[in-house]
Amino acid sequence: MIASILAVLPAAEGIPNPSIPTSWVLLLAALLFILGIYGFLVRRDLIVVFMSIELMLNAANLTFLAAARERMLDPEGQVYAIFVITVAAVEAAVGLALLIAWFRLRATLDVETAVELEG
Amino acid sequence: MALPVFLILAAGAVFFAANVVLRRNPAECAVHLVGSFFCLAGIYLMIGFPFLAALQLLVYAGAIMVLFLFVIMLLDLRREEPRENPRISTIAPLAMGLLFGLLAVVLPDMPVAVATGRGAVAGAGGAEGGKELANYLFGRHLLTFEATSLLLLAGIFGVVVLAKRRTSRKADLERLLENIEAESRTERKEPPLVGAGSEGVAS
Repeated sequence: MIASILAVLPAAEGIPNPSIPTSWVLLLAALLFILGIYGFLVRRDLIVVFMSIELMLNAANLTFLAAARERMLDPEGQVYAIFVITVAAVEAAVGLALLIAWFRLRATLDVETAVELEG
Repeated sequence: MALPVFLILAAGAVFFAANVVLRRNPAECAVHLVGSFFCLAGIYLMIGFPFLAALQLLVYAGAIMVLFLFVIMLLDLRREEPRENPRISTIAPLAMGLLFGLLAVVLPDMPVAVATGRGAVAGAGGAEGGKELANYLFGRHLLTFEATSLLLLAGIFGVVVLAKRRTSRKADLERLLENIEAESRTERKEPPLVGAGSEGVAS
């Protein structure tokens, strides 16, 4: 199974740079997503947790685009990627505003100090 | 020729992403995140999506990163200490490795290989590809597009409400002092609890 990934299986003819196998692009997306999950779970700094979420969203985007590429550059996948980018922008803005409001009350961004559910 | 460039960009993306996760200083993390976004934009360009590459640079490496850097500048952040509870720091890498192995097994069997997609390969990347994309965005997905504008509006209102100071600065500081006191109280209490605890961290 692993060997079938590592074998260079060129993508379908007719799309740009067919020598790049789509499965490698998917593998890269998986790796980035997993790094994002790791950061989300292990880091204590809330702002780095947000950065990990951005990494995961990027990996999801890359997956959409890889699938679109396999379907002869289907614009459907690109449209979804655009929506993901929009959602990421809104999420970053709202998340960072939350973070500032929290910092005002705690003077720290350590997630381990967030142990009670009241403003 | 394309494959080595792709591999370099992919290695760069993974390297920068790993640095985001592993560096202790949030400002360094942010700079490495920009590096990761740049590498990804290059990959988008290589696999045939120039418009998305431009969007990635403008929105991610431009707007979102500036937002992150501003917040890091506004908040006086110190170097992060590793977690006191070491369990998650040891379990997480193992679990992530397992997950990646699972994905590496599953991914090649993903049924995306449809040779007859709807894409316009002929003019991809050029004006034709852009036209096709615009037709999709403002035709088939018009409703979703409008919903997105609503989402952005809600985001703006949410940010204004969240960032607005509702109480006086004095009340804020009193609350902060209260929180710090409560924190130091729990810190003083914790050591005996951990020592005699049934959590079994040590043995």
